[in-house]
Amino acid sequence: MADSKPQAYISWFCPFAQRAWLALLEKGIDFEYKEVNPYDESERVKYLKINPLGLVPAIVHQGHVVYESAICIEYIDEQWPETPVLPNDPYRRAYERIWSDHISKKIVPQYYAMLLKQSHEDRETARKALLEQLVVLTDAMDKEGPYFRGSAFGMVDMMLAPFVARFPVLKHYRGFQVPTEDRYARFNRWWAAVKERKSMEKSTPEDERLVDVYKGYAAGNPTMS
Amino acid sequence: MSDSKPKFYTSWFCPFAQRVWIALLEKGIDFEYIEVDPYKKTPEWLSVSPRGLVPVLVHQGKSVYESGICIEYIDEEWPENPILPKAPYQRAYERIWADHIAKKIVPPFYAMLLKKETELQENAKKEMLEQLLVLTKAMDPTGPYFAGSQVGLVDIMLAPFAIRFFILKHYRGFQVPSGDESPFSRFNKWYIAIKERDSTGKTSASDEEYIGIYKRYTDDTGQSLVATAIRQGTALP
Repeated sequence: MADSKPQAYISWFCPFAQRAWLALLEKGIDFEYKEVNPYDESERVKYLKINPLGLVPAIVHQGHVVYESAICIEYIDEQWPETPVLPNDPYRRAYERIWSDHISKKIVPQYYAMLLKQSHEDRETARKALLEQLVVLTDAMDKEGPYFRGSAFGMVDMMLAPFVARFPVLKHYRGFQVPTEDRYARFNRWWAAVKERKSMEKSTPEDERLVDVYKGYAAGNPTMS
Repeated sequence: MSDSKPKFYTSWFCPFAQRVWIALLEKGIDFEYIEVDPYKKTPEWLSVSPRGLVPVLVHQGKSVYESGICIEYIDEEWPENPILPKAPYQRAYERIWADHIAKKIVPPFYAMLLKKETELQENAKKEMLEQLLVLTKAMDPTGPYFAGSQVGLVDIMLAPFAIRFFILKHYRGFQVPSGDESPFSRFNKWYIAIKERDSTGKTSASDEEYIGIYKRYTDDTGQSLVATAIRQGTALP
């Protein structure tokens, strides 16, 4: 049981930080939100004193710092056991971690490739791979859903949702959209449920702000304006 | 509690699979060892291992893969002789440094072997030493293991790569500085302790076998003209 209020270091635009933010909101944890702009030099220097790696998200609690979004989620789940984000059973937990890993290795890189790659051919390759890997993921989902493992919103959902919430950025700069055909029906059903969650409404910036903040990336320059 | 014997799919040379093998031995779990050639992507193999890779643990009919995930599964399914500590922050700390190994130590290990250009090999050596030093500073000061007197997740994630450092010396002249005054003295203390464990010895092949299997990473004499052309960005001969 935790006896002090955690601080969550977050950048409002960062999808990795949003993952940890979702976990805190879903679990109803009382936390202190601390905005960080890692691209502002003076803020970055100050922040390095708190987290030597200078990354978001970071959870500071009882004098310790936890970082890496998936590790933050697991820490949050273990430190505050009510409303669990991961299931109890060891195999179900492994399954959740396997598919979180799939998102990080096979889906997230394609999102960034679509933005950063400068050739149309490279972007097309990324687009096809992104759609393919989304289907691989949704094939692993509980058939009923609507969430990854069924009726409970959990870790895999939190690992993916922030990136799908940023698909409007890909639409604006690359004309990307997930099709509505049968192949993507499970994905679209998942997203329809996920985007309605209060935690998502609270932590997802408006499309216009996201499009604006990612314009550097779309020009091949991975920095925030 | 588990009621059936897990099947461990592995390749003798694979450092990622060795991690899981070490974990199974450390926990004293009764398992079935199955040697696999992961380069043969047969339908049977892909039904066991969706990504076609080792290690895979099949237990009660279900596959678990990715070395770190396998180890956490093992630790949760068989709770005796725990590999991860109980307290949430201590667990997070182990996971953070396991992640450091994956992102900052494993890549220069392979870069050092695979890169043909001396400059890139030298960069990999520098990077490796830098990141080993960062990891060393995060270790419990007494040790000898990462978190103290007990072997844990970080030790198991690092061990297979550390015991392959002699391959980096053989092919690339890489060495971790020795000596009591060296900033790596804590790392060297860790290495000596890890090397002595039964689980390390039982899961390691001979030096000659390792030198032989890793030659293909470094040896491109048959394709050197092609490799040179690719490096220089010129037309293939």
